[in-house]
Amino acid sequence: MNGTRYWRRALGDWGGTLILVIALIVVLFPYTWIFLTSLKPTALVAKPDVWLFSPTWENWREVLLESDVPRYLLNSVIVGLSTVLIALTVAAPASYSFSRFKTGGGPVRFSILAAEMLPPAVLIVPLFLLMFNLELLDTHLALIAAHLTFVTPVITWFLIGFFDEVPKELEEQAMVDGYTQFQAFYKVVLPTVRPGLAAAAIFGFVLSWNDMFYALILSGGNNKTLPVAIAGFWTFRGIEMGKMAVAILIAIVPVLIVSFFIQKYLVKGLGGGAVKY
Amino acid sequence: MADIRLDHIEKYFGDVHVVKDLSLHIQDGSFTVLVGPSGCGKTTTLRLIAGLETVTSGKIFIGDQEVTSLEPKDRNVAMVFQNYALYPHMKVSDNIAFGLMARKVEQAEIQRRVQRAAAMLGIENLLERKPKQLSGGQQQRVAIGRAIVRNPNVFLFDEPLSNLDAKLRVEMRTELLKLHRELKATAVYVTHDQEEAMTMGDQIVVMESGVIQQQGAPREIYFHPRNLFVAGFIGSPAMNMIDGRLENGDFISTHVRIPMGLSGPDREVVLGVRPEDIHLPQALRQERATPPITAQVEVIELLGSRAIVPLRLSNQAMKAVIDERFLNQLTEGESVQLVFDRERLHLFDADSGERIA
Repeated sequence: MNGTRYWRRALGDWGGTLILVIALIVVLFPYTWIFLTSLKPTALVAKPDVWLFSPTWENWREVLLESDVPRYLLNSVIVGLSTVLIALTVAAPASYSFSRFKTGGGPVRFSILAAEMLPPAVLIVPLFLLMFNLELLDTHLALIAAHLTFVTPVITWFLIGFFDEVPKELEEQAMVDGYTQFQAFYKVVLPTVRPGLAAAAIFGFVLSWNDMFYALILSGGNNKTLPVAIAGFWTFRGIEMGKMAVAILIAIVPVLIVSFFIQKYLVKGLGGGAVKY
Repeated sequence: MADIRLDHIEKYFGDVHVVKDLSLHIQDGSFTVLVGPSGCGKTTTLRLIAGLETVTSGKIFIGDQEVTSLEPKDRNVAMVFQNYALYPHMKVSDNIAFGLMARKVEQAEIQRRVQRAAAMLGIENLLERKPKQLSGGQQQRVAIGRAIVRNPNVFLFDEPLSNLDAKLRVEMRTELLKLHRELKATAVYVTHDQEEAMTMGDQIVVMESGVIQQQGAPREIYFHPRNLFVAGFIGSPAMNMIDGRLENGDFISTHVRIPMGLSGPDREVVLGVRPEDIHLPQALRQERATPPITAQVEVIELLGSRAIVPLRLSNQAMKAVIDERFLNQLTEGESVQLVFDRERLHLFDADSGERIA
């Protein structure tokens, strides 16, 4: 009797583990492959079925020291940070207002996501013309403006759940303690939702960081961002796979690391705004 | 320190009329308890005094100053919330000092006052901790410390003890009262617990449906409830209510006829008898006793020196509190002769609920 139960449980454990292993392979295989590609000598890059080779750091050296990739990396960082900074400055009070005062009620709260629901292709033409007329094409500013159109609504939505969890009494206490309502907001409520703000910032940063569509059309020359630069390894001489692999790793690894540390808050933020209504 | 005057206060939330034409004078230095069932408007009244809600009409004065349209920060009141509302991102000392910082008090003075408040409450060793590292009772002390450190005109308490366990609650009651004696500050305290109201208040304001039912010292509220609501709300176990008629000055019901010596028209009335005013005939001097009634003892709930005895008179359920020495005279399930204390009877008009005698 006990034996059967033991085997059944063991089988269940192994089954679960097996599924996880399969999932891990599916997810990690591309990364592994890209990493291996980045280490392959040029002659072997076009041969994905070759697994055994003597690794070389040639691609890394060329990309990091001899190409413009570091500059594009910096562009991505500048655009991402500026976007997040502006978006948070707007989104935090907006989100607080939705949470605390039920501003506009459910419909308005939901409609801030409207921009999210449009395909970017709808926005790009007016944005392009706007930037063209303002002579802002190929500047960081153009790209920051474009990224704000989707980062601001998302992190506004994202933060609502965090503000919902702050008891009203906290700011009332601050008001009785001698502060104005606005002081109560930034001295008491904002610090209380710090983990949420951090998660929202990273989430927004990743959205900006990963954008290729707007970046391709609105930025160019020295101001292009990393995703555009990665695509740039696809040249008329063919794809420079090895260097591209290096650039891809440079683009995703920081994001992966940061996401790992904030995953708990990411889940909470994505669920929080949606559940409480 | 200051007194508080509420002058014909009305408060609506949308269509809901929460506070109705409320006028109240809270004496300087008193410990006034607002008590009533949930939804009676007591918390709203407190929040109106704090300035966290604005009145629909009426005026509020703290001391000589009209504060009706002042922001909470300009009223110089301190408040302790039911959930303590400690700032989670600040350590205890900063929580206590936060209100002083708003008032630009000097750093050295802040230090001194935080230390003194902490010493008064016995939380000196907790000052460096964050609120979530504290127990409920400790959080409570910090919340109180935050209030006293500011030397406010008025202390407002919104059910501050209801999140504590029973033993701690009784301890904190005593401590709050001691603190109040020491500071001699005006305090307004909201609770739904009538026992807390009785033990803590030197003035009690009983509220129901946004209206003050009675205001007075605990003894007055207890021994001379002005209407049926107050009579039933204050006291535990609750006052027994016997429906009957007043005829030629006598109270008459199916079970009993009690000469009350009252003049006035015959009418439907309710006789109120507190459980502790029901006695065995031998336990009360005869001239104070009413004619005996016969009731059936349902169970005996011994509390120690006394017992609560649920009784049944045909269709009427009652409760008596009987001294332990007389319990040998009672048997569960059997009938017993009982008398009421004539000098402690309450008579109310059945229609208006107002007190007659």
